[in-house]
Amino acid sequence: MIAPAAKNIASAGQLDQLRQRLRVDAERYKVNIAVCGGTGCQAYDCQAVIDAFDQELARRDLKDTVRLRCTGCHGFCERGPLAVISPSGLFYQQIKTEDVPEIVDKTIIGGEVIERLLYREPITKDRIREESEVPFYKHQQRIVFGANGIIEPTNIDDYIAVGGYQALAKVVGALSAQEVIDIVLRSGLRGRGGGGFAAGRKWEITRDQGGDTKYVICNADEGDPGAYMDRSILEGNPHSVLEGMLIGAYAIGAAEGYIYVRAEYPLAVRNIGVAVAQAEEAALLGENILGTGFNFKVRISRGAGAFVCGEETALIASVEGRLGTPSAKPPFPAQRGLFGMPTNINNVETWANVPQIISRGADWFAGTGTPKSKGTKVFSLVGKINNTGLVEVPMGITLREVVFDIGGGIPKGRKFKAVQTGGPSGGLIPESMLDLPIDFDELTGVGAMMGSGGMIVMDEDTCMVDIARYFMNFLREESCGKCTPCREGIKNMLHILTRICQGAGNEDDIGRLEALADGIGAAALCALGGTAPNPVLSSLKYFRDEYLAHVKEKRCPAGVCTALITLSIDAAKCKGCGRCVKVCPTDAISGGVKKAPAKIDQAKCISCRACFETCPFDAVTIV
Amino acid sequence: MAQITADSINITVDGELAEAQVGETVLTVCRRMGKDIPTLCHHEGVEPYAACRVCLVEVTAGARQELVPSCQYPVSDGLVIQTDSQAVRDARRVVLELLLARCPKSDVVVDLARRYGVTETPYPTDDPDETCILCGLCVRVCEDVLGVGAIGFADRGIDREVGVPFDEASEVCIGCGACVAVCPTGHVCSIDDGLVRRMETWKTELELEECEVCGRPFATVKQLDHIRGLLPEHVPLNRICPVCRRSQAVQRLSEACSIVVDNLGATAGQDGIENLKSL
Ligand SMILES: Cc1cc2nc3c(=O)[nH]c(=O)nc-3n(C[C@H](O)[C@H](O)[C@H](O)COP(=O)(O)O)c2cc1C
Ligand code: SF4
Ligand code: SF4
Ligand code: FES
Repeated sequence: MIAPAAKNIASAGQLDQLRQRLRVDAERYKVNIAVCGGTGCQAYDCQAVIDAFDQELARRDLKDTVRLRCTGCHGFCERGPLAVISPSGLFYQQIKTEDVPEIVDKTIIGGEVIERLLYREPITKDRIREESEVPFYKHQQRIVFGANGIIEPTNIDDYIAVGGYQALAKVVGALSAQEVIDIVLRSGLRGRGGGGFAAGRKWEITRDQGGDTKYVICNADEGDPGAYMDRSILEGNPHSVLEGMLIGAYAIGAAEGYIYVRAEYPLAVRNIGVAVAQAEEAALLGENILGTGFNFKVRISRGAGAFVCGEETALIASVEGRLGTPSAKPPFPAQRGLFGMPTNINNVETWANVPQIISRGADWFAGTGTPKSKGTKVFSLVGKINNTGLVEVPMGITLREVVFDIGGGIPKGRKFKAVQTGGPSGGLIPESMLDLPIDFDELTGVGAMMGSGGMIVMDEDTCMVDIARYFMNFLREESCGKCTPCREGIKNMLHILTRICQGAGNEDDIGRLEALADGIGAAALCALGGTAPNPVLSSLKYFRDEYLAHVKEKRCPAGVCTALITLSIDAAKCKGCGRCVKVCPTDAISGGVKKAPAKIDQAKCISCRACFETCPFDAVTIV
Repeated sequence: MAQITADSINITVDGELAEAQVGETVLTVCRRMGKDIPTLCHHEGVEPYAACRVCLVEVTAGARQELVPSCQYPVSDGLVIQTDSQAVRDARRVVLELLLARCPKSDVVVDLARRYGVTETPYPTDDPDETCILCGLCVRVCEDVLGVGAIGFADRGIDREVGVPFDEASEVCIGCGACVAVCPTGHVCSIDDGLVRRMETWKTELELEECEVCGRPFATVKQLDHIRGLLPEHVPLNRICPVCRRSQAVQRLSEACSIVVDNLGATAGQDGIENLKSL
């Protein structure tokens, strides 16, 4: 790692000079290699690839002309390890350490393209050279993630070189607190952590409270299973979050801020820690920032990782060292928050949008999106989808575009069934609603929600009752247990759903589920309980037939609920390979040789589906 | 019309205009008006907690209606409250059905449920002997009011429990019995047995102090030490039980009265009255 040049920047002028110098310095590099060091790629051991590049460049004495960066997440985690080689912008994917000498040889020195490492469009089979031309990226609009693929998160110089801390300089040098709030209000920025509350409005309310001590908090708890948007921002561009917090603190009148990040995110904790230390060294955090008399310091608070600790009142309790359970609002944190003082809490992605809004203007930001949802939203696209990864899309894009154009549709030729947005307590949206634009209010209107950006795609092999049960089980484990309806109610919803999945449900159970869901939603203390019924209510609304099939016909149409399925072998398709006979744990299958097709003894079958998963000829059927 | 002071505001409760003071809760105002709102996790001496959800009322703010816990929700000018709407009754019913399934033997729960027409619950019971509704009053009184913090919550969700850390006898419990007094269901109990107070629920035993006068054990040594710690140094704490303290006071009073009587006539009672004042 190169030690940053940014030290004790005493004024906006000095910041500008530093930026000029860094840009001139950067010109000596003929080639830039940006290897994705994000969480997804780390699972594919991108570190080995980075090390291989480093060694190869050293071996060939290229380190003065080729700059190697380990950047934050590029998003296309499905295809890692990834690298972008500039100035040509060549995009290589699924790189192995063995490929590295060849890349250096042919591409870096020889200027040649290695076709094999280019992304191949699955339908047209065309090889695509540049990242921006890959369909996964083409439909995205990367505001928050814009710099992720080009800067090294642990070097403040990189952030400054691409225009970082310019928005801060503008704010503290030339704008009043009210002017800053007005810009954020006019931009239409709404909170990205779940509730979608207008950020500018929340700042204004906090600013308008009496007293001298106020706090800002960055919520990086991110407890949604499978979601890693916030983590990737903190890992890939931590200074954008710090700069957003600095601007917010200036507007609100806060001199201290906290970043609450879950301890299970070691890289995020490390990178934000490095960023804070470097910003302090650069005097962009601390006293008399840029010589304007504005003071602000940031502390990092590590969360123990409970889902409910992401709820703002529970988060505050946890930062204070108390038990992380929610408390009733009002008072809202803006009125009485951390240590009893007015506190403005925003999500990571909300903060990361702020510097860009200041730099490029409220109108620029509001130019993207729908009338009431502006800008972009980052989603973590997972489930039964070809291209899993992090996507940043303009508000107003339809779910269909995200699932099919960006996500590349459903694998193995299966049919799409539902998409769930909003995390574990989001709603299940059916095929008929795929043309719904992504917008806070539209999603809430159909019983789902924007949430913080989880997006789970389900195919025809997913049972909607089973899925509702899965989410209730998650929420049962994550409920803090403070209030009666959530603690006792979720347990009982889960109980009823389990009964239905086991074939022991009856039609009354559906009414009971609805009554319970309504009661919990209306009576719970915090939004965990308040939204917990969403998966149940939305699946009941859009997939009621499936519930009825379970309770009336004792049938699971998707063939998932073990107690409700019968496996049998189609003699016409069976080739007698005997694989199923070998995998069956209860010896329920006889035959399976050339002359006698396999046959399942129903009395012995435990519906474990081992034969179904194993048969290469699709001869095992589930009814 | 009531007098309007600087801090008083107007709210509407069940269609009736009412006056309230800034800082009051909806529950306080409604109860003053004689409204019947049930509570389980609320206690006047402890900060609101809003966890049991039986005190829910419906408030209208603009076009939005929502259920809020009256025990904690602050009044604001123009607030419109319904204490017995259909939505309120439905929500209370669900909550009571759930509590009844949890604690089928708790009289408090059974009686309250019955008042809302809930005599049986559609939900299964895990432990038929459970009587803790997790209202948290015991924990809160011990930690927030007394500053002792001998008990706390363990686990989360449906496994949440109140208890002593690690389920072992508490080193810090002073055996004052405040938790016993505030527990709405009688789940917390203690027994005095000779010179020992057994805080049964907390698996903790404490030594009792005998009254210096009558010799009866009356408070735990630890509680008296705790109180002494709170008193200014020069104030002595006599280890005398409340009964003896009362009879000593009566004794002093009658002595003073007899001085008054003795002095009557001679000094027109003046000294006697001073004597009385000095008591
Ligand atoms: C159960 C629960 C979990 C939450 N988890 C998160 C989280 O992980 N990150 C987050 O930013 N907000 C989370 N929230 C929302 C926060 O309470 C809060 O609204 C948000 O941080 C405000 O920031 P924003 O206005 O920028 O969205 C959660 C809310 C609930 C009820
Ligand atoms: S709704 Fe659930 S998570 Fe929220 S306070 Fe109640 S029990 Fe805790
Ligand atoms: S023991 Fe009693 S006071 Fe304590 S939480 Fe349970 S019901 Fe409430
Ligand atoms: S008394 Fe108000 S929630 Fe329990």
